[in-house]
Amino acid sequence: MSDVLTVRNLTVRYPNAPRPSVQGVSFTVPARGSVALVGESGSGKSTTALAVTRLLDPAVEVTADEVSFEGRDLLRMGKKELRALRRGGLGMVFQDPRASWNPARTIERQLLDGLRGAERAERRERLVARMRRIGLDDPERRMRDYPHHFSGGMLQRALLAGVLVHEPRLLIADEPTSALDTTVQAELLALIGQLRTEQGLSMLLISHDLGVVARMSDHVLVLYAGRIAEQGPTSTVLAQPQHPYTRDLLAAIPRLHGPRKVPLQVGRVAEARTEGCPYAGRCRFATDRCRTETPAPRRVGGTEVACHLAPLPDAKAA
Amino acid sequence: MTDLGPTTVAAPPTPSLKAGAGASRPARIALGVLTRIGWLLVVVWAAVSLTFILSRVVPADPARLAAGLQAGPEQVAEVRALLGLDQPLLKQYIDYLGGIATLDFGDSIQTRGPVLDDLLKALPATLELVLVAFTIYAIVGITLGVLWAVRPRGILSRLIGFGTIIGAAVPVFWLGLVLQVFLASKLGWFPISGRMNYNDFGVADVTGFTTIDALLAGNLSAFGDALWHLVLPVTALVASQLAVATRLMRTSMAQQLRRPYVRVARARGSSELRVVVVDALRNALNPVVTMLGMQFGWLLAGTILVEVVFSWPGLGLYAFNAFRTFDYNPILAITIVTTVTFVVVNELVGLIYPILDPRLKEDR
Repeated sequence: MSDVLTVRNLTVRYPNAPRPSVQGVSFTVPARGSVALVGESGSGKSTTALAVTRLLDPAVEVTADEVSFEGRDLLRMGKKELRALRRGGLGMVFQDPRASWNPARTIERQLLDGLRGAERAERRERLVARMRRIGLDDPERRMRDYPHHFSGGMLQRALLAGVLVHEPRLLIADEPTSALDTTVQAELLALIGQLRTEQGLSMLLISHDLGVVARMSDHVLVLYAGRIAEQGPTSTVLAQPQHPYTRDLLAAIPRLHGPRKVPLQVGRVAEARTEGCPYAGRCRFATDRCRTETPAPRRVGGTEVACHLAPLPDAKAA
Repeated sequence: MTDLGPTTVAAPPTPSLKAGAGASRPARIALGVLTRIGWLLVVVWAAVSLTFILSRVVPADPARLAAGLQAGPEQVAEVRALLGLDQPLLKQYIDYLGGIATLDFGDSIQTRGPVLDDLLKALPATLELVLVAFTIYAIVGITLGVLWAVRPRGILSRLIGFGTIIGAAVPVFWLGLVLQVFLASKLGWFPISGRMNYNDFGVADVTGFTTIDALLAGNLSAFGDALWHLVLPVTALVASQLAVATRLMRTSMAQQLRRPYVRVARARGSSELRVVVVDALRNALNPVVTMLGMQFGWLLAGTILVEVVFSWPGLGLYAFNAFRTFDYNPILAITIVTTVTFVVVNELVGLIYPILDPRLKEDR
């Protein structure tokens, strides 16, 4: 029972979608551990997070062998229990801080909505203390302001404070910094890292930014078209990628020095194939087998990879 | 910093305080109010002038109608001179504007009394009908729209969708007649027509609003009777417009429910009721409030048919009779009253925006 979050064989299908947005995804987040989901837009990483936390529209079909939080079944949990969990063990931070706040209500009112127990004054006290710790000046007064009085970075900090006041065991962060500029992003990541060590918080991080992933996670899942392309310890996956997609992703990072690497092949996830390897259409190494037979995950080197061709001949050549 | 706040169908008007930038806050507010009143006068003037022109262009001769069908040419000419209709148009127009400034709308050919007296008698009846209808319209429309947005695939939503289409498709006078025939005439549940009778209940006519007068007199049975008379006309009036508010509310609410802050509120553990009513509704109301201001005008226009069907002694019935006999002074006066009411209601609606959206309150 040392795993905080367990997901086994998760499949998510939107109504009228040609293929599932998430298909057969399994992973665990160990206590105090940090797992990252990476992939480009449409790879199913956000959908995975939303499905796990039951925030998808009820019309979306979610099936899994298991989705559990500290041993409790999240998918079959009643509404009351789920709400209690969201006010307690499970915290979430989302992408666009400005859109995450209701423009018509003050910061304080919105955050107090999620706080249970004790007197309002006492709850407010706790919130103020949190706000001060995340670096908000004069929180008593500032919390009575509306979201449009805050910068994007400060809104995200306030959101984080509102989540952390619940003392969660797991933080699900969906692209927490991608809407912010680089310096603010670095500050926020440092803050999350610090709070994580202080509170012994586990984290599920969703990001398309491999730099953030390298810094913030110890295990990574590379998703492509709703399937796991490759997973393993973050350092291994980033240093010795076995899946052509992981390599292309790494090569697509712009660098200041050295020759330009091969850019990611043209194409989008939405055009992914329904049979064979989903990446076959964009893969530089694709064979006839890739186009007809879906690869099963195999252990190659230090990672688990879903590719017929792994291990690739020369990892450095990419 | 891109998307600020609720995406709305109609952008709320920004307060016109620009002119006095730099002045003190009260001074700027006073200036703003004066600007608004100035515009109101311009709108009323335009409406009056337009109606005046129309009343003189139509191929009907008010003098002929006033004099009666049996009147000879001399008598008609006499009436024409009496009514000032033999004067040049420009002079008639200027005289008319001068009269309005002193609330003199001329005499009615039909009632042979000053139009102002007729208006003061009819206006409370219509306002009572419209205000009650408007309140019910707003509450029911908003409620149904929210329910529809929250459970778009439910049975209730299908019923609402079907019901609003029927309501919009059925003409208001037809619905009025059907209600009258079945609920009043056949079943006898409601009075067929008219309003509460002041004499029957011994209630004094103070405000002209039957419900308020009954309450002022402390006469509950009179109050009940006043309400009873309101049920059918209000129902007909509301049903004819309900689709507009319900559908706009649904669209606006559905739009808000898709926004990220709703997901964040749920993720925070807010109850579903709180998410819908406290978070989303406030933002969703914005375009609906704009529309409600406009709808007030439609309800006012709808009273003409409803009042004729239910013999409701208000402005609509008065207008109907004036139109029928081409009694041009009441027609012009009713135009003015309707325009002023419409503009004032929309100005009042403008005061609601800053309550809904705090960003409009600020002048930093």
